[in-house]
Amino acid sequence: MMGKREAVKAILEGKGADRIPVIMNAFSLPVTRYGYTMPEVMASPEKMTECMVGTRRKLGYDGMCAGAYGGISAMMGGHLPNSEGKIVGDGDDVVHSREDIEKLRPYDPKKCPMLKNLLKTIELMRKEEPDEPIYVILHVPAAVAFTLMGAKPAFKAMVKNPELFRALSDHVEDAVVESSKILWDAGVDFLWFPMPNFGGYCISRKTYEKCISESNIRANKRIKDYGANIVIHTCGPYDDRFDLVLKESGDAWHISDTQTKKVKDEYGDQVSLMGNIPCVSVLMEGTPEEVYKYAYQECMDGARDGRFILSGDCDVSPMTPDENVIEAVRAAKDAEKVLFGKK
Amino acid sequence: MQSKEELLSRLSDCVCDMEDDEVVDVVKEYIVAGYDPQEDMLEGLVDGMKRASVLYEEGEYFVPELIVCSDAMYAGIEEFQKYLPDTEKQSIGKVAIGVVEGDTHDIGKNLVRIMLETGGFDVYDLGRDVALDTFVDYVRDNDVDILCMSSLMTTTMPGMGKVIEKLKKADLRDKVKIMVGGAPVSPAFAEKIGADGYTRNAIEAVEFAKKLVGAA
Repeated sequence: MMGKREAVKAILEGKGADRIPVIMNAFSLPVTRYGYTMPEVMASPEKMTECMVGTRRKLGYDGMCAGAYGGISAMMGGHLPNSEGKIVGDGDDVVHSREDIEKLRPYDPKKCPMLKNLLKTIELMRKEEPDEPIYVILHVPAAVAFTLMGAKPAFKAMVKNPELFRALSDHVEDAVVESSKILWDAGVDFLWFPMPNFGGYCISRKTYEKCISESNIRANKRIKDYGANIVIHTCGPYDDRFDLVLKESGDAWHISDTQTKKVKDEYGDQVSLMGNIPCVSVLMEGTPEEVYKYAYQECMDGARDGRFILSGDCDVSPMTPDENVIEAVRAAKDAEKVLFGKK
Repeated sequence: MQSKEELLSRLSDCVCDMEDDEVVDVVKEYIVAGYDPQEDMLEGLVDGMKRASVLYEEGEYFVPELIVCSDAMYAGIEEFQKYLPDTEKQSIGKVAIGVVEGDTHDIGKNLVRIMLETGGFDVYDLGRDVALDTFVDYVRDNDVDILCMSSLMTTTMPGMGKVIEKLKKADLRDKVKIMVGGAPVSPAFAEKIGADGYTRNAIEAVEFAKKLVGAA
């Protein structure tokens, strides 16, 4: 039987594995269980490692998130005032014109404390759990641009001034590629790119094509050229634009708001899948029996060729009962027996 | 000179077609033409926003388009107000709205606010990343019919339940109806935390709010 990291690698390389990793995308759950806050763990590799490792061991799922990297917008735009005229330091809502783009500072990963903490966390986690897959959350250039512009101005620009949105995405692309390489070289098993603002809850396929696609295709290809494995989290409805996402070099799609079987049938020969247990209606609110049934079916729908990672469809809520997570893990183990003849 | 109906139709089109610059010129034309600003110019602007809402429901418009439409509507209203005498605004209910502590995602909240205002509610926007006690304080200190809270993240969802608990402890729960929303929120979650209701989107929110205040 493959090791967990070996299995994840095989899945992301499209070869298939003889097990179904259960990477629960649990980020806020471990933090809350240990009584920490997000800013606390983001500032402390030790606390982050403690809660991620401890919760994983307790609940029995595979893999850990080392954190979310949001340092690019802070470093490049943290010195600029937002639309309320305040300098907050996070780089949110600070770029609203071409002139503002010129005011952005260069990105220097060596001077980014957030990146430093993330690298330390990866080191500590790897030491604690050498055989567990580790991943980090990063943002595609368009997502960094979205933060720098602020949500409302960014959405507005997509209609009234798409050239500005694209110019900003292009401007931050090198920073995204550079930070991705550093994190990949630190030994993570995959880079996880969520795109919650670019799905069907928020923008049309036409806007996606106009403002997001090209940048994602180019940046992800550059990241892939370094040898990194990419998981694209299509957060929200993407059924009408999976064909566009297919061009973006994702080794796997972490899907939500869709049916695993449907996506598997349509795209399963071209990309591996991760997902897709509804985190609220099933994982958090369901009974353990309901979770088991749903998770088992997910595995049967997604893992028949060994290219599937069982997960929630989003971040697992801190209010999720332990037994529900444990049942999801049990379901994957039972599905493995049926699909891969395990005893 | 264009008729009043033609100008109202153009105002509606400006909003629905996202012409946030042109709308101001049409308002001026309307005034120059000598039509009474109090009569039904707002109907033209609000009509445009309602048409945009229908396009959103039909999957033709998305968040960016609604934002630009609402900007056009507010640009028109702002211009329109210059010509209005100070009068008491007609309101079918008072609403306080905000995104709970720890969460800065406010696009959905803003859309609900816009739609509620379009629907005739008087809305006070508490903003985003709102401290839980601020919701309680606002309900205590103000005359408010409905409290709307939202959260986009599972991390911050519990905050809405905590606000309801705090309102109960302060003997304020019966003073106000409570609506909750946001991507991870479900009807079951709303019921679990003791809210009066959950709606899937901004359009449904208006209809539900009207029911809560007996204006449906």
